[in-house]
Amino acid sequence: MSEFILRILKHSWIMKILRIIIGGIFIYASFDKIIHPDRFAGIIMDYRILPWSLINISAIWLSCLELLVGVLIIGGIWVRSCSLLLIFLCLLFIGGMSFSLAKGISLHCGCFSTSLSGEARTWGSLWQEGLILLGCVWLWRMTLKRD
Amino acid sequence: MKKESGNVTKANALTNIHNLRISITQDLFRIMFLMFTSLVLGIIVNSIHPMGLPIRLSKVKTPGIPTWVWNQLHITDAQTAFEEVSAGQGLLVDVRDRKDYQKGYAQGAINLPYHEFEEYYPAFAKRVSKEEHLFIYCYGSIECVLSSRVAKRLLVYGFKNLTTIKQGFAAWKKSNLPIDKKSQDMK
Repeated sequence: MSEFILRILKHSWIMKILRIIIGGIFIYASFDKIIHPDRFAGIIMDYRILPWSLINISAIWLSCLELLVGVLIIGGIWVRSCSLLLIFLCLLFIGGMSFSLAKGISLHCGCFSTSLSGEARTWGSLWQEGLILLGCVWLWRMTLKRD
Repeated sequence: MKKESGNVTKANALTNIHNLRISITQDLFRIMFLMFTSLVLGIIVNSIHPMGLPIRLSKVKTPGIPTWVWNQLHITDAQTAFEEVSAGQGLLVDVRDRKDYQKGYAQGAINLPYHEFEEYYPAFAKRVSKEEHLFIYCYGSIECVLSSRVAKRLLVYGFKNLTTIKQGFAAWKKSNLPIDKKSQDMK
Protein backbone atom coordinates (compact mmCIF):
# COMPACT_ATOMS: atom_id res chain seq x y z
CA MET A 1 0.00 0.00 0.00
CA SER A 2 2.74 2.46 1.01
CA GLU A 3 4.74 1.48 -2.06
CA PHE A 4 1.73 2.19 -4.21
CA ILE A 5 1.29 5.63 -2.61
CA LEU A 6 5.00 6.37 -3.05
CA ARG A 7 4.81 5.41 -6.70
CA ILE A 8 1.89 7.80 -7.21
CA LEU A 9 3.72 10.60 -5.39
CA LYS A 10 6.78 10.11 -7.58
CA HIS A 11 4.76 10.20 -10.80
CA SER A 12 5.80 12.96 -13.16
CA TRP A 13 2.30 14.48 -13.28
CA ILE A 14 2.14 14.70 -9.51
CA MET A 15 5.52 16.40 -9.54
CA LYS A 16 4.32 18.87 -12.17
CA ILE A 17 1.23 19.67 -10.10
CA LEU A 18 3.37 20.07 -6.99
CA ARG A 19 5.72 22.44 -8.85
CA ILE A 20 2.78 24.54 -10.02
CA ILE A 21 1.24 24.64 -6.54
CA ILE A 22 4.46 25.55 -4.74
CA GLY A 23 5.58 28.01 -7.42
CA GLY A 24 2.11 29.52 -7.46
CA ILE A 25 2.06 29.92 -3.67
CA PHE A 26 5.31 31.86 -3.67
CA ILE A 27 4.37 34.01 -6.66
CA TYR A 28 1.04 34.86 -5.03
CA ALA A 29 2.80 35.53 -1.72
CA SER A 30 5.20 37.96 -3.40
CA PHE A 31 2.57 40.20 -5.05
CA ASP A 32 1.30 42.11 -2.04
CA LYS A 33 4.84 42.46 -0.69
CA ILE A 34 6.06 43.98 -3.97
CA ILE A 35 3.05 46.33 -4.12
CA HIS A 36 3.44 47.38 -0.47
CA PRO A 37 7.15 47.15 0.44
CA ASP A 38 6.61 49.68 3.22
CA ARG A 39 4.00 47.52 4.93
CA PHE A 40 6.11 44.40 4.47
CA ALA A 41 9.04 46.19 6.08
CA GLY A 42 6.76 47.06 8.99
CA ILE A 43 5.82 43.41 9.40
CA ILE A 44 9.48 42.31 9.33
CA MET A 45 10.16 44.96 11.94
CA ASP A 46 7.43 43.52 14.17
CA TYR A 47 9.31 40.21 14.34
CA ARG A 48 12.02 42.13 16.23
CA ILE A 49 14.80 39.92 14.91
CA LEU A 50 16.65 41.94 12.31
CA PRO A 51 18.48 45.17 13.13
CA TRP A 52 16.69 48.23 11.73
CA SER A 53 19.44 48.85 9.18
CA LEU A 54 18.64 45.56 7.41
CA ILE A 55 14.86 45.72 7.38
CA ASN A 56 14.24 47.86 4.29
CA ILE A 57 16.68 45.91 2.12
CA SER A 58 15.21 42.61 3.38
CA ALA A 59 11.70 43.72 2.46
CA ILE A 60 12.83 44.78 -1.01
CA TRP A 61 14.87 41.63 -1.56
CA LEU A 62 12.68 38.85 -0.15
CA SER A 63 9.63 39.75 -2.19
CA CYS A 64 11.58 39.66 -5.46
CA LEU A 65 13.32 36.45 -4.42
CA GLU A 66 9.96 34.75 -3.84
CA LEU A 67 8.69 35.93 -7.21
CA LEU A 68 11.80 34.83 -9.10
CA VAL A 69 11.98 31.42 -7.45
CA GLY A 70 8.25 30.84 -7.92
CA VAL A 71 8.49 31.61 -11.64
CA LEU A 72 11.51 29.31 -12.09
CA ILE A 73 9.84 26.43 -10.29
CA ILE A 74 6.69 26.67 -12.40
CA GLY A 75 8.85 26.93 -15.51
CA GLY A 76 10.73 23.79 -14.47
CA ILE A 77 14.08 25.60 -14.40
CA TRP A 78 16.64 24.74 -11.71
CA VAL A 79 13.86 23.09 -9.72
CA ARG A 80 16.22 21.29 -7.37
CA SER A 81 18.17 24.43 -6.51
CA CYS A 82 15.02 26.54 -6.16
CA SER A 83 13.34 24.01 -3.90
CA LEU A 84 16.50 23.85 -1.76
CA LEU A 85 16.39 27.65 -1.47
CA LEU A 86 12.70 27.53 -0.58
CA ILE A 87 13.42 24.93 2.11
CA PHE A 88 15.93 27.34 3.57
CA LEU A 89 13.46 30.24 3.37
CA CYS A 90 10.66 28.18 4.96
CA LEU A 91 12.96 27.12 7.82
CA LEU A 92 14.08 30.71 8.26
CA PHE A 93 10.53 31.90 8.34
CA ILE A 94 9.28 29.18 10.72
CA GLY A 95 12.30 29.83 12.93
CA GLY A 96 11.67 33.58 12.94
CA MET A 97 8.01 33.19 13.73
CA SER A 98 8.72 30.64 16.49
CA PHE A 99 11.32 32.97 17.99
CA SER A 100 8.86 35.86 18.03
CA LEU A 101 6.01 33.73 19.40
CA ALA A 102 8.32 32.43 22.13
CA LYS A 103 9.03 36.06 23.09
CA GLY A 104 5.29 36.64 23.34
CA ILE A 105 5.15 39.04 20.42
CA SER A 106 1.76 39.15 18.77
CA LEU A 107 2.27 39.49 15.04
CA HIS A 108 0.72 39.09 11.68
CA CYS A 109 2.40 36.68 9.38
CA GLY A 110 2.95 38.83 6.31
CA CYS A 111 3.00 35.60 4.32
CA PHE A 112 0.38 36.30 1.70
CA SER A 113 -0.81 39.76 2.62
CA THR A 114 0.62 42.88 4.25
CA SER A 115 -2.83 43.78 5.55
CA LEU A 116 -3.14 43.93 9.33
CA SER A 117 -6.75 42.73 9.39
CA GLY A 118 -7.14 39.13 10.37
CA GLU A 119 -5.91 37.27 13.39
CA ALA A 120 -2.43 37.35 14.75
CA ARG A 121 -0.44 34.16 14.32
CA THR A 122 -0.21 31.47 16.97
CA TRP A 123 1.83 28.30 17.41
CA GLY A 124 -1.06 26.31 15.99
CA SER A 125 -1.09 28.24 12.75
CA LEU A 126 2.47 27.16 11.90
CA TRP A 127 1.12 23.97 10.36
CA GLN A 128 0.47 25.84 7.11
CA GLU A 129 4.12 26.76 6.83
CA GLY A 130 5.03 23.21 7.80
CA LEU A 131 2.93 21.89 4.93
CA ILE A 132 4.67 24.16 2.43
CA LEU A 133 8.02 23.07 3.84
CA LEU A 134 7.09 19.41 3.35
CA GLY A 135 6.09 20.11 -0.24
CA CYS A 136 9.43 21.84 -0.90
CA VAL A 137 11.35 18.97 0.71
CA TRP A 138 9.51 16.41 -1.42
CA LEU A 139 10.13 18.43 -4.55
CA TRP A 140 13.83 18.69 -3.76
CA ARG A 141 14.08 15.01 -2.92
CA MET A 142 12.42 13.94 -6.16
CA THR A 143 14.61 16.20 -8.29
CA LEU A 144 17.84 15.11 -6.61
CA LYS A 145 18.85 12.86 -9.47
CA ARG A 146 17.85 15.36 -12.16
CA ASP A 147 18.84 18.91 -13.18
CA MET B 1 29.99 -13.68 -3.95
CA LYS B 2 28.99 -12.06 -0.72
CA LYS B 3 32.21 -10.04 -0.63
CA GLU B 4 31.71 -8.95 -4.27
CA SER B 5 28.14 -7.75 -3.71
CA GLY B 6 29.33 -5.94 -0.56
CA ASN B 7 31.97 -4.13 -2.60
CA VAL B 8 29.41 -3.18 -5.24
CA THR B 9 27.10 -1.77 -2.55
CA LYS B 10 29.98 0.20 -1.07
CA ALA B 11 30.93 1.54 -4.52
CA ASN B 12 27.34 2.56 -5.17
CA ALA B 13 27.14 4.35 -1.84
CA LEU B 14 30.37 6.25 -2.56
CA THR B 15 29.09 7.20 -6.02
CA ASN B 16 25.85 8.44 -4.50
CA ILE B 17 27.72 10.56 -1.95
CA HIS B 18 29.94 11.93 -4.69
CA ASN B 19 26.91 12.78 -6.86
CA LEU B 20 25.18 14.38 -3.87
CA ARG B 21 28.23 16.57 -3.23
CA ILE B 22 28.24 17.69 -6.87
CA SER B 23 24.49 18.39 -6.72
CA ILE B 24 24.79 20.45 -3.56
CA THR B 25 27.77 22.44 -4.88
CA GLN B 26 25.89 23.15 -8.08
CA ASP B 27 22.82 24.13 -6.10
CA LEU B 28 24.78 26.49 -3.86
CA PHE B 29 26.18 28.35 -6.84
CA ARG B 30 22.74 28.62 -8.40
CA ILE B 31 21.27 29.81 -5.11
CA MET B 32 23.92 32.53 -4.81
CA PHE B 33 23.15 33.59 -8.36
CA LEU B 34 19.40 33.70 -7.62
CA MET B 35 19.94 35.72 -4.47
CA PHE B 36 22.15 38.21 -6.27
CA THR B 37 19.73 38.52 -9.20
CA SER B 38 16.71 39.02 -6.94
CA LEU B 39 18.62 41.65 -4.96
CA VAL B 40 19.41 43.60 -8.13
CA LEU B 41 15.82 43.18 -9.33
CA GLY B 42 14.52 44.34 -5.96
CA ILE B 43 16.71 47.47 -6.00
CA ILE B 44 15.56 48.33 -9.53
CA VAL B 45 11.87 47.85 -8.66
CA ASN B 46 12.34 49.83 -5.45
CA SER B 47 13.90 52.77 -7.31
CA ILE B 48 10.79 53.24 -9.49
CA HIS B 49 8.21 52.22 -6.89
CA PRO B 50 6.00 55.06 -5.53
CA MET B 51 6.46 53.61 -2.03
CA GLY B 52 10.13 52.81 -2.56
CA LEU B 53 12.15 52.59 0.63
CA PRO B 54 15.57 54.07 1.41
CA ILE B 55 18.15 51.27 1.26
CA ARG B 56 20.08 52.81 4.13
CA LEU B 57 18.59 54.45 7.17
CA SER B 58 20.17 57.88 7.48
CA LYS B 59 17.80 60.77 7.02
CA VAL B 60 14.81 58.47 7.47
CA LYS B 61 15.13 57.00 10.96
CA THR B 62 12.45 54.32 10.80
CA PRO B 63 12.28 51.24 8.53
CA GLY B 64 9.25 50.96 6.28
CA ILE B 65 8.88 54.70 5.67
CA PRO B 66 9.63 56.04 2.16
CA THR B 67 11.81 59.16 2.03
CA TRP B 68 9.10 61.34 0.47
CA VAL B 69 6.76 60.43 3.36
CA TRP B 70 9.43 61.19 5.97
CA ASN B 71 10.06 64.60 4.38
CA GLN B 72 6.41 65.52 4.78
CA LEU B 73 6.16 64.49 8.42
CA HIS B 74 6.77 66.94 11.22
CA ILE B 75 7.77 65.95 14.72
CA THR B 76 6.96 67.88 17.85
CA ASP B 77 6.87 67.41 21.60
CA ALA B 78 3.77 66.73 23.70
CA GLN B 79 3.60 70.22 25.25
CA THR B 80 3.64 71.99 21.87
CA ALA B 81 1.02 69.61 20.52
CA PHE B 82 -1.20 70.28 23.53
CA GLU B 83 -0.88 74.07 23.10
CA GLU B 84 -1.74 73.92 19.41
CA VAL B 85 -4.71 71.62 19.92
CA SER B 86 -5.98 73.75 22.82
CA ALA B 87 -5.82 76.80 20.55
CA GLY B 88 -7.99 74.92 18.03
CA GLN B 89 -5.07 74.45 15.63
CA GLY B 90 -5.30 70.70 15.31
CA LEU B 91 -6.64 67.35 16.36
CA LEU B 92 -5.04 64.58 18.38
CA VAL B 93 -4.98 61.04 16.94
CA ASP B 94 -4.21 58.06 19.16
CA VAL B 95 -2.94 55.08 17.12
CA ARG B 96 -2.53 52.66 20.03
CA ASP B 97 -4.64 49.52 20.33
CA ARG B 98 -8.25 50.09 21.31
CA LYS B 99 -7.92 48.44 24.71
CA ASP B 100 -5.01 50.71 25.62
CA TYR B 101 -6.85 53.78 24.36
CA GLN B 102 -9.85 52.93 26.55
CA LYS B 103 -7.62 52.81 29.64
CA GLY B 104 -6.77 56.45 29.09
CA TYR B 105 -5.88 58.81 26.22
CA ALA B 106 -4.83 62.39 25.63
CA GLN B 107 -7.83 64.64 26.16
CA GLY B 108 -9.83 64.98 22.95
CA ALA B 109 -7.82 62.36 21.03
CA ILE B 110 -9.55 60.18 18.47
CA ASN B 111 -8.55 56.53 18.33
CA LEU B 112 -7.32 55.18 15.00
CA PRO B 113 -5.60 51.95 16.03
CA TYR B 114 -2.73 50.98 13.72
CA HIS B 115 -3.53 47.27 14.00
CA GLU B 116 -7.17 47.85 12.97
CA PHE B 117 -6.54 50.69 10.57
CA GLU B 118 -8.65 49.33 7.73
CA GLU B 119 -11.66 48.89 10.02
CA TYR B 120 -11.45 52.30 11.71
CA TYR B 121 -10.34 54.44 8.78
CA PRO B 122 -13.73 54.81 6.96
CA ALA B 123 -15.39 56.38 10.01
CA PHE B 124 -12.27 58.48 10.65
CA ALA B 125 -12.26 59.78 7.06
CA LYS B 126 -15.93 60.79 7.35
CA ARG B 127 -15.35 62.71 10.54
CA VAL B 128 -11.95 64.32 9.95
CA SER B 129 -11.19 66.79 7.17
CA LYS B 130 -8.07 66.18 5.08
CA GLU B 131 -7.00 69.78 5.68
CA GLU B 132 -6.97 69.26 9.44
CA HIS B 133 -3.63 69.40 11.23
CA LEU B 134 -3.30 66.02 12.94
CA PHE B 135 -1.04 65.33 15.90
CA ILE B 136 -0.43 61.60 16.00
CA TYR B 137 0.92 59.69 18.97
CA CYS B 138 1.51 56.09 19.96
CA TYR B 139 2.91 54.35 23.03
CA GLY B 140 6.09 56.16 23.72
CA SER B 141 9.22 54.30 22.73
CA ILE B 142 12.03 56.56 21.59
CA GLU B 143 11.17 55.87 17.93
CA CYS B 144 7.38 55.81 18.02
CA VAL B 145 7.01 53.75 14.87
CA LEU B 146 3.24 53.23 14.87
CA SER B 147 2.72 56.99 14.55
CA SER B 148 4.95 57.14 11.48
CA ARG B 149 3.21 54.14 9.94
CA VAL B 150 -0.26 55.59 10.41
CA ALA B 151 0.95 58.98 9.20
CA LYS B 152 2.28 57.29 6.07
CA ARG B 153 -1.09 55.67 5.40
CA LEU B 154 -2.89 58.98 5.98
CA LEU B 155 -0.53 60.82 3.62
CA VAL B 156 -1.28 58.30 0.90
CA TYR B 157 -5.00 58.85 1.52
CA GLY B 158 -4.59 62.60 1.06
CA PHE B 159 -4.08 64.02 4.54
CA LYS B 160 -1.40 66.68 4.19
CA ASN B 161 -0.73 68.24 7.56
CA LEU B 162 0.65 65.58 9.89
CA THR B 163 2.83 65.81 12.96
CA THR B 164 3.96 62.96 15.18
CA ILE B 165 4.48 63.51 18.89
CA LYS B 166 7.91 62.51 20.15
CA GLN B 167 7.71 59.68 22.70
CA GLY B 168 3.95 59.57 22.34
CA PHE B 169 1.59 58.95 25.22
CA ALA B 170 4.44 58.41 27.65
CA ALA B 171 5.62 61.98 27.04
CA TRP B 172 2.04 63.26 27.36
CA LYS B 173 1.66 61.64 30.79
CA LYS B 174 5.12 62.74 31.89
CA SER B 175 4.23 66.34 31.06
CA ASN B 176 1.07 66.00 33.22
CA LEU B 177 -1.16 66.93 30.33
CA PRO B 178 -4.91 66.20 30.53
CA ILE B 179 -6.05 62.61 30.07
CA ASP B 180 -9.54 61.29 29.35
CA LYS B 181 -11.03 57.86 29.82
CA LYS B 182 -14.44 58.26 28.19
CA SER B 183 -14.39 56.61 24.77
CA GLN B 184 -14.63 58.62 21.54
CA ASP B 185 -15.84 55.83 19.34
CA MET B 186 -14.83 56.00 15.70
CA LYS B 187 -16.22 52.67 14.52
